[in-house]
Amino acid sequence: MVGVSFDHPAANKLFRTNEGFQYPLWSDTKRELALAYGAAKTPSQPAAKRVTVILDPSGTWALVYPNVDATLFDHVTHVLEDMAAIAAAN
Amino acid sequence: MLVAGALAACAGDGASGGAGGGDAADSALAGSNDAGAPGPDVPGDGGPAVFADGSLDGGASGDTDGATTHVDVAGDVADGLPWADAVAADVSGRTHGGDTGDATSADAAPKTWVIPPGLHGQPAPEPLPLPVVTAVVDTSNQPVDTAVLLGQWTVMWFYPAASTFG
Repeated sequence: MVGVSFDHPAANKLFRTNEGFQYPLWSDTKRELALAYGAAKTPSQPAAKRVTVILDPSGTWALVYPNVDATLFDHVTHVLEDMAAIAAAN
Repeated sequence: MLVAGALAACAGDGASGGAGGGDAADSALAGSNDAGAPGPDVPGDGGPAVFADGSLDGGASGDTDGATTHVDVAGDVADGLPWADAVAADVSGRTHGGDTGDATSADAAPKTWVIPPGLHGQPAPEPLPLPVVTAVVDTSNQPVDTAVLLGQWTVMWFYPAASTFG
């Protein structure tokens, strides 16, 4: 798992420390990843859209959640359910 | 709780290394899905090889008996995505992974994963190779190589800003 935003690395480092994240946070300041995965429409977009993607072991994306609603608390459950379903189907 | 925090709690400790360049936690990609985000084994695990044309193991072509998806993702759902036009197309019957495959040469052709129907997420409209980035850095301001994501299933989540809700 990896989190991506447009923040300065120092801001992400503090974020990760404060929240106890055990996975990397990446700073995509040029929106390279965000543009590829739909979290940004332009290289100057000030903040990333809340988007989650699941990539398979070859790095190819398998699923996308293009409109994550942060006010709902079921997104994590949905992602895990989907990954379990993919595992079961394969 | 922040969604990010919940994801972290579900993701295992990510203690193994591999990202390089950053601090210890930055190098926590390998095995990051081990605990809470179960995924299929890497290619060559003997699972069904479903090719892009819907055939199984290079045999008879056709549907994969429910192991395909048909998600109506046209319209506003896809708004803003770079592949919105492609998403608007009917994606029924698609499977995920390489273009075609030879079941006897797993090393040569990437495994095609069956994406079952009824998922919360939308199947990717078209294969998108892992982007090669030049300016992405970790929290130690070290360049990131997206190749560290290879070999395991990865959840990549984009968030508007550090320390924001959700």
